[in-house]
Parts: sequence; structure tokens; C-alpha cells
Amino acid sequence: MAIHISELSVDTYRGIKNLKIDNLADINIITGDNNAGKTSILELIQNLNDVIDINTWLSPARGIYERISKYEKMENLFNINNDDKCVSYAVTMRENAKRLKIGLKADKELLTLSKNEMLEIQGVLDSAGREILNNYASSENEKIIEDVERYVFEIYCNDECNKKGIIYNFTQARIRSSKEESLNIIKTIYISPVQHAEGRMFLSDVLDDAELYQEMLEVLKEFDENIISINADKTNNLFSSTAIYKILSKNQKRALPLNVYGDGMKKAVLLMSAVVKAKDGILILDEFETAIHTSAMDRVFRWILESCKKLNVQLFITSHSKEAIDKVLKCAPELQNSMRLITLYKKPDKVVARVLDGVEAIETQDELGLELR
Amino acid sequence: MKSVILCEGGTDLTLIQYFMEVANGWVYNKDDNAGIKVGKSRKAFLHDEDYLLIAQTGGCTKLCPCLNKLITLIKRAGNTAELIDKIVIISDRDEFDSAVNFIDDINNLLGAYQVEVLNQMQENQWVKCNIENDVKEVVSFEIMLLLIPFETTGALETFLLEAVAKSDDYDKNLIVKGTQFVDTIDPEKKYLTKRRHKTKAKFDIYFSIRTPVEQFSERQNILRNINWEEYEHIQESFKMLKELHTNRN
Repeated sequence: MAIHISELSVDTYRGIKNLKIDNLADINIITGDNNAGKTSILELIQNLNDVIDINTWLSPARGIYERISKYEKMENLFNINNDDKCVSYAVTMRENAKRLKIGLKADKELLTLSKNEMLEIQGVLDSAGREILNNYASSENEKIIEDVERYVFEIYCNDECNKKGIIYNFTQARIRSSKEESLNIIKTIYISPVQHAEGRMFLSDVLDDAELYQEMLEVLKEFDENIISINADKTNNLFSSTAIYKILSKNQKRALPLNVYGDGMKKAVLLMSAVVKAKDGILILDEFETAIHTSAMDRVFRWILESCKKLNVQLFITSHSKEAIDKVLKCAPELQNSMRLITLYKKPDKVVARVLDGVEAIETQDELGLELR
Repeated sequence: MKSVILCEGGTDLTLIQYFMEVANGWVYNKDDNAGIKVGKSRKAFLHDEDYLLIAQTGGCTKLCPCLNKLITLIKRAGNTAELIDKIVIISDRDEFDSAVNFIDDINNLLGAYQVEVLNQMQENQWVKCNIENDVKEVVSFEIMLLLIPFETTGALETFLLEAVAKSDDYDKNLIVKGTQFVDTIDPEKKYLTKRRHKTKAKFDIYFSIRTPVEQFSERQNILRNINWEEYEHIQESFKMLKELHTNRN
């Protein structure tokens, strides 16, 4: 059984309040309307990789491309209707049935700073007032800046404060925090809907496992029936130490870089390599079906589900697509009892979840005509 | 409002269909995509913004399994638009009397789902129910067990034959002779073991002669021209089916 967390309950995080999802399974499909809270759930799970790293909290799933300051990102963590600025949630670890309560509390403060102090916070000056960056005019350093805002925050796990820090609201302010070690609950690998287009893959792990590599090649024949192999080429990459992955195909004279292939192939390679990377941990796939053609879905999804089971990976996926959800539910009938379909509903004052196992979900859709999303 | 009528057989479905269309203004919705697969076959109808599904279960013993499916649907529905507000079970007294503890079966089924029943289950009366659904909210629905007594004029088929007989002497003669045939052809009750069977046989004989080759439109015309509103005078309880349409006047 690849279940690492069996239960997730959220007291407050963004727009979610008092949500409990129990009976989590090996494969968890999260769906619901826009703004129901799907990505928020993924973010809380992603946090488990290092719950006291403030950058993990501030650079979550949705935030990778957001051009807003860390201060604003901090603000966005809190429920807008609450006066208290806090996040609180808990997970139950299946292995030892231990319940971990995780949270972040912040107090907002208004203060005045001198320009010098601001520059020190920005990393322009050191604590002795000397320039770290060159050519900065210091004539206005003594100017007083009013109405500076900051959040003084604490991150805790099971009521024990593990990290403290301060985030200011002006640009380029560096986060100040205490230097405790990281706190990893469980390894989590997050894959965004568009990561395949960026070329970030985890192929090295797959290339080290002969059986998985062979299986992956067989699946990739859905995209290119002539595929022979994928290899890492480090020799020609003068600008980086990372490898360029190339695909050798029967109908091409030379191996082609993976990044010239279509999005479908790249997405499939990314998803499959991510499964391997997430071994013994949690894999989070946000809108997992993006870029994968209908004709390839059955094969790709089946490989992912079976490999997750084999590699002890607990899977959390989100989707809006009726077709993709249907395919996942039906691509591996023997795994239906190991699946949960979690539908989030946004009600006037809360978010609620309906949890069905795979068999129930299919019956609900096909026999009862109900919407799963 | 969304409602479901469960009836036993295909003929029941057809007759209830025409009753609801002619007497109560429902319109058959051929392109129904609600997708509720309950019973052996089903038809959907619309009336303004209300929805009605009439489903034939394939027999009295299948009524409870179909009701089970509907309650599962109510429990799992995440949106109010998907909920079923009213469920009507139509059966005739003959079947009811012979089905052991039918009301008990319904009560047991409701109990298994921890449905709160707010008034006692009785025939021809709405029973209000509350159930906690899968997202831990309490939703309400109503059930009615609508029984057609089995006096001679009570059955839908009998009403229909009498209505036809009133309108045409030639057809009246067909019906009378067909009735006599059915009443005498199986003296040992080898095949027509129940009164219900005889009623259906009389009905089928008339239509076999009247439309010998399956003529869908011809049968539709006959059924559509019956004065179905009159049936409510015979069967008071059928007036309650008007409540499946929300009166917006």
C-alpha cells in the first residue's frame, strides 16, 4: 500500500476552512469547480517536503509564475475574512498513525525605518552600513521611511515553534529567519501543468533502472512508434552541467533533443520520470492530463498508476477534465479500490469534500448520472 | 423540482406517461441527458423548469432495489441541482397485497441509510425524509407510495378500455368480446394467475387487434385522445401527481 498520509484536515488556509478529508488512498484524484481549493490542497501536501522552509510556503504551486512580492504572497496565505493571520492544518501519517499539526502564525506590524535600515534589509548595506553593492549614493541614507509594514511570523509543528522570521513589504527586502534545520515530513515531488514545456525532467533516475526504462519506452511508442532509446548527452552542453536528453528514433538520422518533440511526448516523459523521482514519497500532479492526447491517455495513465504502486508512491492529482478523470478511473480496474475521487464543493461559508472510492465514482457517474467534478 | 416515478412494467410506464402528458401538461424530453439509469427503461419529461423521470422497474420485487439507487443518488449528489425532490412509487393493490411487507421493506431501506422519516409511511401520502449526504449536509426529499386499488375500474388499463369503448361502438364490441375471451380461456388459471394478468391480457388483446402491426404513431394517437383528466375522478390519489410540478402562478 502506498499510503503515506491517510488524512488531511485544514483549519484555515486561504479560502479553505474546517475541511477534513479522511480515508485517503494510494491514488487520490482531486476535482471540483474553479476556486474550490484544489491547488490549495496540493500546496499543503507539497509543504510536507520541508514544513519550516518559508520559501516553500511562499512559492507554492500557484505561485511559480506570480509576479508579486513575498510579502503579498504571505498575505495571500491567510483567510481574508479572519482577523487572525494564521494557517493551520494537520496530516495523519499512516505508518505510525501520528497526527502532525502544522501551522504558520503572523503578526502584522507598522513601523518606521531609516533608509539605512531599509538598505540593510535589502542587502545593499551590511550591518555596519557599508555598501555591499557598488555605486550606491548614500546621501539619503538617513531619511526616515514611514508606514513600512512587516509580518513577524512563526512556523510550528505540533505546537513547537520551529522557525521564526520577518518579511517586509518593500521591494527586494530579504526574508530574515532563524537558522533551524529543515523539517522534512515526507518527500514530495510537484509537477505543474506546464513544467514539461520548460524542459525540467527527472530522467536520470529512470535511466538508472533498466526495467522501468524499458517500460517507459514501450509507453512512449504511443507518441513515436519508431523510438529506440532516450539518452543523456552531457558532452555538447557548454553552458550547463545538466544533460540534454536525446531521443533516438528509427526514422531520424540522428538523435533529437527531447525539447523539439511535441508537448504530449514531453509531458509523458516528465510524468513517468517524476514517478520514479518520487519513490517512497508523494507525487503531486496538477492538471495531470494537460498536453496528453486522448489516444495516449490510457497507456500513460496506466503506467503511472501501476508504477506508483510498485515504487511506494502516493499520488495526488487534480483535474478539470471529465474525460481524463474517466480514463484514470477506468484504465486500471484492479486498482479502483485503491483510488479516491475527492470532489471539493465551495459553499457560502466553507469548502466541503465528497470522497468516493474508484468503484463508487464510476457508479456515481455512469449509473446515477451525477457530475464527478 | 426533480422527481422520479417508479412503476412496475412497460405498459405502466406508457400509460402513466400519457396521463402525465395529457392531464398534467408534461412534455416528453427525448434528448434527456440527466443520465439516471434506474430501472429497466425510463423516459424523461419537462414541465417549465421541472424535471420528471418515469422508470419501469421490471416488477414489484425490483421496486426496492430501484429506490435504493435513488437514495444513493440523493446521498452522493454534491449540487442541489442534482438532487431528487420527490419519489413516487406506483403499484397496484393486487401486487401490493401479495408483496410481503412492502412498506416494511421501504422502511428498512430508509433505515439502512439512516434516513430520518418525519411522518409515518402510508399509502397515498407524502412522507417527508431527511438524510445526511456525503458532504455531511442534511438534505430533504419526499416519498409517496401510490397504490391503485384493484376494483374493476381502478386499473389504468381498465380505465383506458372503458374510455375507448365509450367513444366508438365498434371498438366497444371488440373490447367486450376480448374481455369475454380472457375471462374464459384459462379456467384452470394456469397462466392468468392474478387479476392483474387478466387486466393486462384484455388490454393487450384490444391493441393487438386495433393495431396489429406495431404502429407506434397509431397507438400514440389512441392514447393521446383519451380524456385522462377523467382518471383523477376514479383515482383521487392521482391528483397528487400534480404536485410534481411547481405551480408558478
